[in-house]
Amino acid sequence: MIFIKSIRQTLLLTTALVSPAFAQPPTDHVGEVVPRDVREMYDRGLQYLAKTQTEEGGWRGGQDGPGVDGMCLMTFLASGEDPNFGIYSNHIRKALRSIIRSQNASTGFMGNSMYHHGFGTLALAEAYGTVDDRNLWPAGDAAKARSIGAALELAVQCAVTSQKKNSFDAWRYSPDANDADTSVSGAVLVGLLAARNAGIEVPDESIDRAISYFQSMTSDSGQVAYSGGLGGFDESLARISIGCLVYSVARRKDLPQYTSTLAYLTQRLEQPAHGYREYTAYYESQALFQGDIEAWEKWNKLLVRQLKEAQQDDGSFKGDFGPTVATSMSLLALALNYRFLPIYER
Amino acid sequence: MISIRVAASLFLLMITIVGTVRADEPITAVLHLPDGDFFSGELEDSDTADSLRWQSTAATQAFDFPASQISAVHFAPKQEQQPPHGEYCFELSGGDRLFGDLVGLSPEHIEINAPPLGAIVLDRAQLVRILRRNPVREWVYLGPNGLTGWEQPKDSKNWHEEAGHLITDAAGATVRRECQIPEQACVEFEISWKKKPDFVFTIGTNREQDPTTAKRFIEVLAGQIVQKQQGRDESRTTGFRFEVWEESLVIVSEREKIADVAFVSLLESGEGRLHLRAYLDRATGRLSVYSLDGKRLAQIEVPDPEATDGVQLRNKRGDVRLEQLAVSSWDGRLPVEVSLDEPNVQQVDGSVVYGKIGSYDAAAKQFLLVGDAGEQRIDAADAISLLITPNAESPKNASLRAVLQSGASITGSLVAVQGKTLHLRRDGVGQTLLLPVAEIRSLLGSGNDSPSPPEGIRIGRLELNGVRSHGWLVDGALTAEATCIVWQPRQSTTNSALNAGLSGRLVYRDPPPPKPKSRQTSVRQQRPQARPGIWGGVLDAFGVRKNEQPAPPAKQSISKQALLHLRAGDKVPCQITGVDEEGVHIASTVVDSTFVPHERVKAIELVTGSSLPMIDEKKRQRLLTLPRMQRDNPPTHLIIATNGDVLRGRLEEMNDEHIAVEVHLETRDMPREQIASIIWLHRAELEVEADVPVLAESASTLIQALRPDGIRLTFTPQQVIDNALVGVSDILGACRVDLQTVDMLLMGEAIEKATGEQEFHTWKLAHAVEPRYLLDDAAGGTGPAAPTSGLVGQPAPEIRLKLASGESFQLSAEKGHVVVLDFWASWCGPCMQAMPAVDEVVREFEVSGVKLVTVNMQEDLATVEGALERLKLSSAVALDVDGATAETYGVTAIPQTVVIDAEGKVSHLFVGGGSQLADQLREAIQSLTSKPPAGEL
Repeated sequence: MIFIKSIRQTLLLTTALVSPAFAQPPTDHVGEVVPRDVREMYDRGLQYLAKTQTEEGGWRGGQDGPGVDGMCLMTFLASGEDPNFGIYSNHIRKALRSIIRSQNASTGFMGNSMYHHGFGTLALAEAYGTVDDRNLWPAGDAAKARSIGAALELAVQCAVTSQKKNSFDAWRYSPDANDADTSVSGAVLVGLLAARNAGIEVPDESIDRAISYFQSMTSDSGQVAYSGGLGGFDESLARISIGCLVYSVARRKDLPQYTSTLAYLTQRLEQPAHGYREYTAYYESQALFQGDIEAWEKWNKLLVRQLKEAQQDDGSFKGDFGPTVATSMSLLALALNYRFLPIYER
Repeated sequence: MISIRVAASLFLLMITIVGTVRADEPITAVLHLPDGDFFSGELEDSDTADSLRWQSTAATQAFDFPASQISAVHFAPKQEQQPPHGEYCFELSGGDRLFGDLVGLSPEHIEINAPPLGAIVLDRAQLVRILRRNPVREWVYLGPNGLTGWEQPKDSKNWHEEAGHLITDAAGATVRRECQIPEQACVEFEISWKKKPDFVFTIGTNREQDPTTAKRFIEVLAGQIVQKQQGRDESRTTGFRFEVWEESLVIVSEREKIADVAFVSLLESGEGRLHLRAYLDRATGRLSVYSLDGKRLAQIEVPDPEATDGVQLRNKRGDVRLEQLAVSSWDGRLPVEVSLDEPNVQQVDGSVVYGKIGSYDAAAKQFLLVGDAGEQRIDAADAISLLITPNAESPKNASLRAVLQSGASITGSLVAVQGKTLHLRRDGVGQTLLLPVAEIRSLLGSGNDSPSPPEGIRIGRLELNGVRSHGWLVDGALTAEATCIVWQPRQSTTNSALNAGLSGRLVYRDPPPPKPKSRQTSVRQQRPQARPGIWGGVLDAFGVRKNEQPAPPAKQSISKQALLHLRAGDKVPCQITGVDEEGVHIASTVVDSTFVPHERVKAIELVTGSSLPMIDEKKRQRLLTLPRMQRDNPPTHLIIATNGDVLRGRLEEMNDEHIAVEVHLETRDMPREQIASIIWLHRAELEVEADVPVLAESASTLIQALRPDGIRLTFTPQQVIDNALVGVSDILGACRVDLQTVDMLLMGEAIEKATGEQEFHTWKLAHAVEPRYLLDDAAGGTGPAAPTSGLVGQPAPEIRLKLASGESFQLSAEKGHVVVLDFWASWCGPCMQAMPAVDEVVREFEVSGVKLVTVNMQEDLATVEGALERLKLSSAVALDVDGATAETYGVTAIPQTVVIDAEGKVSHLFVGGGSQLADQLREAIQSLTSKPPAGEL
């Protein structure tokens, strides 16, 4: 079975934090040169995603929608290839167009759930300032299509509006939902944080309230509940990672909840996820990277080993939500080794 | 009767054992040879006289075996045994028997019709006796025809066969067969011995019990029997036993409270023979023993209400040979005394008329007897036994005896086998006898010794499925059709390549019995120093080196000799020059290869010849148990130090000086000199339930050579030449094995089995036991939430929603019907799995008015319709556009399935779907409706 919390987790992706609108140049990277086998694994995965992208710019098979397109977009952006002139620049533009086309022009909502909206927002934020959108739309469409910045602003508005309507100060599947869970909320909050880091105005109140929601859902032990308040915790490395990540990306490492969630993770580096492995790895990689670089290095060694074994001949990965989600999330977990995405900056 | 005292002294010496294990019945035809060799297969046509051409199931071509070398060929018995044809049993010289009708009898010849042989004209001098079969005599067993159908204890198979006879000189050897003994039975048996008779022959015995306990017998006779408390079976015996007591043969029978014993005859010392008939009336328990000439030798009477069917022969401390056993029905009339030296006729009324049978009047059905009183006509119907030629000479030219499915038997010289028909010539028969192979049960030869092999040939023992054969390998090369293993059985005049894909072994020297498992802690004291003694033997381990170049001058740092153990079972002497991410680098004088990938390695012994440290079972289990925490990062190596310490981790690197091991994601360095051995723990071994083969796909064509010093090499054989087996290993490169020195060659699947028994190969990780709550969850779903959901038993919250079809749905309007609500969303994988099952279960109860309404959570109509289309479902879908309804039902996880009874109360609530949902839901609905589901109507 899937708890809704976890379920939703599946759909989501990511993380975030970000700061400047531009990625660091490779020379600024921290740590060792990326090992050749990691590079090869990533490239094979990229080739799979490139090959399976539809003409419209999205991906089909398994889960699909703007959130999934956003994950794939970030996978290309994180590769270090030039987003505007590199070999994947067309794929990047197509994915961006697909995400923006899915956006409701008036509400700003992307996709059939706030999961998609959150990941879509994050992807737009990561692309904003990096991808030159003067060439984004074909000549005929340019007039009626939004720019990345406009789409991102609209997406932020949607998320903020949805949060205001929510008595938990957080989010759930529907933008109009009145309940919340930490999985959907993590997706949306990371998107907002990335947007803020990219220079889009996001009300501090919105961030603060969302962080408070996460605090209320974090136990002293570091476990993070799913929905409905504390109590009845089950161990979810994914949610603990989400909690840890949002605290650190929101620059709230001062919070005891940050300390407890990080400790929970660093004490269990070898512990496998109970389901949704790619989703868990996606968040745990970022949480550890932001929280404890030495722990991340150990954990990352294990991740690389496991992904090498798991990668299919065509470069894809298998997972609960189909090869597109599994491949993009696995590569994004690996992408901490590159650190090209703004959100991966420490 | 003998005295109780004598009986007591003799009985006390008796030892009893009973065979309880049924021997495997051959499924196909099996050819048996001396030395216990055999080949399953089939008889092929051949024009060579006195030679059988046998197509073994394991060989590409047939082997030719001289008839003189054959012990027996046993064919599968017919499924439906028909009684033999004809009115008479004709006993011929040499023990042959034919069943058929009498056509004519003259002073020189007898003509009979004996299907399937047909009409036969036989010299009268070869005809010993004619027995009338009907209406009083039917044979239920005629034999023995070798060991087929006889059972020996599994762990002591000491009987062998020769010319169909059963022979042993092993003390305590027992052989038994099931045999339906008629209510009135005649049991004729012929037993011989070379040196000393000391046996027990039992009529009526079962498998489980000991048929003879001398002490008990004495207790019975002395009236001292006390019912033992250990159980009835231990004190119960059945049947009648012929036993040798010193120089006497006695007949004994005992029950719980009664026993009887009678002297039968004195037995000759030295070589001797016994041929008796026993007449048994099971109703009264009377057994009468007669000699062949009708003299009564003994009689006892012990009722045997629980008599069982079966006969058994046990050799005590002598030697014994069962030559003949015939069990037939009996008309209840005891034989009369009759001379075996004069022709005579026994008649139905018990009278005996002496005289020579002159002829037979087939029309009148009368025999013409010429006696002292002149000629006399005897109606065939009155004559039950006619002794025609007393003391007839056995046929001289005979290489085989053919025993037919009917029980008939015929001895002769083999002319040929053509068209699946045996051509046989018998002394005294003018024509060639034609026996269809399909009618033959056994061919019995006299082979008891194998010819000596040519000078310089090393004899091996080939053991395959359906084959056990002593012989040797001759030169051969791998072809598309056959292996290069060309086998020459020592008894055959030809050889053949073996089929590909066989499993078994060729043994040149049997391995010593396994040592008792007492691991020494010698490793604790050992230093990783070179061991020249062992090493000297290992350098030329397989006789011939691939190339004669001297080994590269060993650096001091890599001079330590080591043993590399491969997962395929190979043990290769070498130097370990390093270990890296890819595998193990070696330098060896035995093989060409310098690298072996990790997935093929099982262990390295850096201190060769040392045992693994003594590790108690608890610690061993701990070392081999993979915690759940480490499920995705299992340790891949056990590092065993020279002081006996064991470290579990991942070997990352080893060079001349140190090794690097990752333990809990941290790398630790250790001096190499402190390491005694390293065992590889493979994930494939951990997931043994996946049945991952250790060997590659081509395992069935592999051979593993085993040296006396324990060195093993596994490779694909390509050629046998100059007493060497040559092949190639995908890991080790070219391999060559000297057949003069190798101990054993393992073939095919047998390699893996033998490998699994090697010490290092028993070290395999196992998953820790999963907690029950996880196992439950693994089945899917949490099942009924009744104990935890406050909704159960409460009125179902009202629902007013728009349906995807455009209509409205109001739950309260459904009162009087059972309603099933299923909360779902298209992004929820488990929901997509559960919905069809829920739909199907509810349909089973349609006749009871049960209604299914699925409740979609916060998705738009297009998404809902798309999901239904993919699932091919047409259920009613209520659109919970704002999630408010889900909230009133406390939906925190989906799928959630709610069952509402006809009163409008929540009766059951299931969360999470899973494999058990359908059954649980069906049961829940059934409890609310009086009718069973439609499928059970």
